[in-house]
Amino acid sequence: MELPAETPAVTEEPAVPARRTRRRPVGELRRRWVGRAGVVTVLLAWQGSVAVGLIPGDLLPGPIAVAGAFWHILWHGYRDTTLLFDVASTVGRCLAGFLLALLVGVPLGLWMGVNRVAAALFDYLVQFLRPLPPLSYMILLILWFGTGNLSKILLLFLTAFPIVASAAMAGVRGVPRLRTQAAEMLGANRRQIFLQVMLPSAAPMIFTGLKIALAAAFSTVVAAEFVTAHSGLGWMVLSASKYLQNATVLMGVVLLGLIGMALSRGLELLDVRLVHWRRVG
Amino acid sequence: MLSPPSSVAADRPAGPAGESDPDFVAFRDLVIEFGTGEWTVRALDRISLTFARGEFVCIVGPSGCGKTTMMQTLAGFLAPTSGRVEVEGKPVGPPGPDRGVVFQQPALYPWLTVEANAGFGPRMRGIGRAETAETVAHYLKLAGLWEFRARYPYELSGGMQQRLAIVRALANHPRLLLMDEPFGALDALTREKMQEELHGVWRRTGMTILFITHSVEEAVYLGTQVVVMSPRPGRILETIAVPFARQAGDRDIRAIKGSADFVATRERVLSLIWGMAHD
Repeated sequence: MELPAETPAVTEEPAVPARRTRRRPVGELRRRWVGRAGVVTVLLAWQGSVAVGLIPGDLLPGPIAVAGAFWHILWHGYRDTTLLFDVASTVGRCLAGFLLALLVGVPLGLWMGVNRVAAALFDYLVQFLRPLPPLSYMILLILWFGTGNLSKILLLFLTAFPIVASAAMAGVRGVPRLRTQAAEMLGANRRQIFLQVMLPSAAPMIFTGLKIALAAAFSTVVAAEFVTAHSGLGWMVLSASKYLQNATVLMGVVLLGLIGMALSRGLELLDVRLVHWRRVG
Repeated sequence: MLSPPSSVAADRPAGPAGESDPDFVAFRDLVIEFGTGEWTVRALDRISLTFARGEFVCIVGPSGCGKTTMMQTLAGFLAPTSGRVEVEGKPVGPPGPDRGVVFQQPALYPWLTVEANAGFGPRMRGIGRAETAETVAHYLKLAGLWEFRARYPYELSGGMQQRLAIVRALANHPRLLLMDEPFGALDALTREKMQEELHGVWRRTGMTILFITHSVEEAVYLGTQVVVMSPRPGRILETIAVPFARQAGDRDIRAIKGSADFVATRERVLSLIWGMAHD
């Protein structure tokens, strides 16, 4: 991920100030419709294959059966839980772990970025945790903190935290020297340089880290619910699979995919607003 | 619009005493070395140069002659290995708003609007909002950027970005403006326009400018003095007084650059640089 470079723009001076286009260009709209058409095609092909018996419907139920499972569980719940409660459990655990990682990881990463001692102190920990598969130590967390939400949130925190911290550190370290030099010569003190130059300079990379961390937390939360849980979409999927309720399993998978997309889309929208200069600056 | 607003004028230490000070800026036996032990490289070798307030000093020389190092020392980004750099008789300290710097890249802050970029210095220094706004408005209008004040730097062309970088430095009312190949990244036409505009700003404000360039033509057109440097280690070869910047009246940049006097001066500086290439 590159920081916005100081591009030596050599364009002609515009006679009329050109406003950044907020309207979506035609090509973008067309791409969207092509994408939607693709999804519909896959659904139709899927349903068609099941209908003509190409795929056995009990192993891979068609989209209509999956929608039926969704409708049923939406109204009647799954075992002792409602669908809304399962969604809220999964998303809530995910966001709790993610926010904890943000609150701890961003300040720590920033500190590591500006302070050599802090970097030396925490670098091994972060580099050790970052590639470590969270499920490998999950059983320990369950032994120590029980089977409830606490162990899961800690697991997600440990998943997301090293990603967030290293992104913040890299963001601070990647601040172009000219930007801080310019601030120095303009009369900014060290505190101002950190808050008003380094922090916003690092923001694009911090946001990139947050997006990756949220995706990692989300995929881990489902796995965590596989191991021990009494609610949540992961639990629902695993439980339904034991009873060969494949339509429910598929419904859970589709729902997880959609929620994952929505979560990253939410962060993406925030990113576009807060780091508006990312692609052009 | 042509003269600074009251707050600008009040801020600038002017007066006859200052105007006549020939040692307003002084490099005295300045030596800059990089590295340690046997890896030491001498970038600047006993540089001595003084100039008065209001001068437009252009430094030219081949790459590696230490012209940027010289400017960075005056700006305070580098400390002398030996020797001194003084402004008004006092050794220069760390970088500060009294010495505005314009870098080769604009180095603007893309998260701030044009107006906020221009007012960055005064804001950091705790200057009042109204005064900052007045100063910023003055210089943005001077630079033709006023109508773009609510835009972001990435919405500007390269020439406009560099003008904004100059405005940003000027908004602190510096005693000195240091410019390190500020037009190096611009295309030829934009570059000449910028030269004309900078010349205009210098004439209107009476600012003291140290300008580094690798374009001899640019130096001879803009400078009241052209300092020619030689590389490895950086030394001053010759300082040439140039009349074109002070010529009165509306100057046509093409007429000046095409005049026999101008061409002769340019060739003289170029032959100095060529001469060292054949050493």
